[in-house]
Amino acid sequence: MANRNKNVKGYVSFILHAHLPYVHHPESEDYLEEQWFFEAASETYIPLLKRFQKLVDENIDFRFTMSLTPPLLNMMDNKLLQERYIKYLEKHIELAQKECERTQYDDRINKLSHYYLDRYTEDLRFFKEECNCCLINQFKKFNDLGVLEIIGCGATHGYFPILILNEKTVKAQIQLGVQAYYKYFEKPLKGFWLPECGYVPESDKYLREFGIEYVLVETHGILYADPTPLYGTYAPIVSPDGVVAFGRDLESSRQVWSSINGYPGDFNYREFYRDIGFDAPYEYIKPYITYNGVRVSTGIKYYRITGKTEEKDVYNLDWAMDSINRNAGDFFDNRVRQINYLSKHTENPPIIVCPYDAELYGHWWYEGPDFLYTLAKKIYYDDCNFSLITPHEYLTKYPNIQQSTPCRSSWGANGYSYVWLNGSNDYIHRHLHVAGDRMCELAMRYPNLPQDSLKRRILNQCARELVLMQSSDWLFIITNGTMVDYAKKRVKDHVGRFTKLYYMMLKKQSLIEEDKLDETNMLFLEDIENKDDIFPEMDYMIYY
Amino acid sequence: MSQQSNDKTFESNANEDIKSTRILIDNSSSKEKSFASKNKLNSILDSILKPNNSLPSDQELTKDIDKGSIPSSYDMATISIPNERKISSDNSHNTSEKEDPRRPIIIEYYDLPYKYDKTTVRVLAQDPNTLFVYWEISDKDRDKFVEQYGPNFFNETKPVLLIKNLTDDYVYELEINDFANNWYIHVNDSKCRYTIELGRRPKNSSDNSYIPVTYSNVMESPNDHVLFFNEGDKIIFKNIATKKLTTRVYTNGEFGNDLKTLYKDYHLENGRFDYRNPSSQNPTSNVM
Repeated sequence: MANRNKNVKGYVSFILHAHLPYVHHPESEDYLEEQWFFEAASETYIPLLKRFQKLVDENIDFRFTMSLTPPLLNMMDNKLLQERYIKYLEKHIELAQKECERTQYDDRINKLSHYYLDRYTEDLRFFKEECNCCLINQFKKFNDLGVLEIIGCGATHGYFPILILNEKTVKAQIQLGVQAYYKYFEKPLKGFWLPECGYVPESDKYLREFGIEYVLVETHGILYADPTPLYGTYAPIVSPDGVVAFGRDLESSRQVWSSINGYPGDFNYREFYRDIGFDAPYEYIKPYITYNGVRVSTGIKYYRITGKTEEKDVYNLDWAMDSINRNAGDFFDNRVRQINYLSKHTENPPIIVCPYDAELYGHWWYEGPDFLYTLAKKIYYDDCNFSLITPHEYLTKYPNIQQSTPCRSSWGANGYSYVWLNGSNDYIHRHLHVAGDRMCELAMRYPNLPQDSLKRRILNQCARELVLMQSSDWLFIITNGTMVDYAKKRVKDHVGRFTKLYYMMLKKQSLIEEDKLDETNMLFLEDIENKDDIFPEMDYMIYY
Repeated sequence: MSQQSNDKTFESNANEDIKSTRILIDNSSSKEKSFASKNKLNSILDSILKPNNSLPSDQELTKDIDKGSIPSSYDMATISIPNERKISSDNSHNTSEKEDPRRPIIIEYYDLPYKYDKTTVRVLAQDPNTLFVYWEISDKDRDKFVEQYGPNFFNETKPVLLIKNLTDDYVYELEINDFANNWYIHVNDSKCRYTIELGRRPKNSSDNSYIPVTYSNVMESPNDHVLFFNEGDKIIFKNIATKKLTTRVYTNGEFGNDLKTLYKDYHLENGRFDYRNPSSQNPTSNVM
């Protein structure tokens, strides 16, 4: 915890969950969905890294916890995506330069155009020089310094309450998640972000098997636990199988998330929906939006929220900074008050757990990273009754924990599994379950194949297709109606590829015996190995 | 997506995979392909798919099968076509990517199988009071029933689900229908272990017989309220460093007051908490 001489009565723990579904299309440059990664890098990951650096440079001790999911790590590490990101930045620099010309009719807007030019130029420099084109390097740096605890997550963010029908598939999601962590980070892995905070007691034993100490659950995951936690969400609980669960704090999460009263809605903050991708003249902006001419966000936005009105005023960086200071101060004061009150009723100093999607900070709420920086600085310097902490540090200090099983729950809308299991997507689950069963069957049939055999290659690719189809993102997207066609196609593609490989293994046994494939199927295998190249070190035996 | 109008000629039959050849060209995210190259594509496909090609025969395919047949709705084709020219409609094409101009394009189109031909029933929990069940009866098992009960078995019986609450030990029955292969079931009791049995009953209500088909996994429905304590309940604490367990006894005085105070914060109603906790990924649309 931040070491300053103060009377610490409680702790606050920020946990940022950074995740994107694995979108990698070497076959085409036209996938809009790849933009998700580039936007997140520019708007969330790089801004967060830069704020962390600023705090370190200013000798301010702080603690944040982040989960970087395996698909995201894979994408950050992917050469093709790194190249494409550089191109993305170069295009944005070019666009910002053009904007500096175009917006000369208005001083305030023109000032912002220059601001964006500087920003993208600096991002490019930061990415190439300090990250060496791989963002993971910087995250590791802060992890090694001890200010940023990195926790793991399921292989492809599979939703455990649904996959648990075949426990081996959940174990595999955990195992791959742990392996992905250790590929990039050195410190022992202690925490695990359950995808969507989807908790089921049956996964605890597998988490323990891989040395996981704690997970995060939603508020009612703790409140409805059995038996009832004496201290609500202000202390963790430990399940009979030995996994500790921390529950989301209600008060602090509403302050930040709420679009009505929450901080991100402050009128001085940047308006998300007024982007030049939509506002600028079509012929001018065309080279910077999608290939087929559909208008999308570029990241260059000139207006602030202003109020509940269609008329938006120009964004003002100084006013936004004022609001950041005000909001950080408000958050700070509320925690002081909350901890003063709670510490009288809890055995150990209370812990206020604040998990968020990392995307909130920077992408949805442009000023978010600055809010975190300002808050961390305040906590360090001001005389207050709390410190920032990571869940693991809290457990080292206070290892005596009430035994209780969390409630089966998630942090999705309605608190359970509705988002991933409803009329719009329930047709998918039987395919996930069958594929999971078939994968285990294949592992049993062909155990311990020689390292360089073709059969092993095929089974490893089966495993990749399986984890890709299990991604909870497809189900989520279908429910929320955003890029539905893309999500549905992803499910069909992975189920289809898996099934084809499955039958290839079973039917063409004569060819397989000789460890050969005919040309068409060989081309097919190479093609999907190239497209679905997540987890290069995949070993199908995790399904044995 | 454009479809070959004469694909019926190549319609697959149930025991083959590669022969099924409904080719769809996915245009949803591709650059403009010239008319000429599309025609070239089609002619190449034609030549591959003529009867005297070298695709494996039925015998070769089925020789080592010990699995059931592939569902006939499973259509997929992969054709490799020599990529004779780079297809590029604008000059911003990526030149740093090493693209082998001779690398073939694989065209894929998949439908999800409409059946797996394996008898199964499985249950999931959508929320504390809603279960989701899906099922399938294999052709082999269908034939067995017909053999045992006569050719009109499926016409003269209706499918039913037996919903068994293992925690509170009761069973009840729900009539479903043969047009569905899944169902949402409302259950009264949260935090209970349920299992489902799929069976059949004669449509003729004077006949009370029941024929079981198969049964499902066990799934516990989630809890939906704070359990609270009774005087004298045991509370276990574990030291995760030393693994030592200690037991305390709940008394309304000692723990009760703190508990009440802390839980007041959550604004529970009948022990229930308001879920309109802003959920992930859509902060601007969730209203509090």
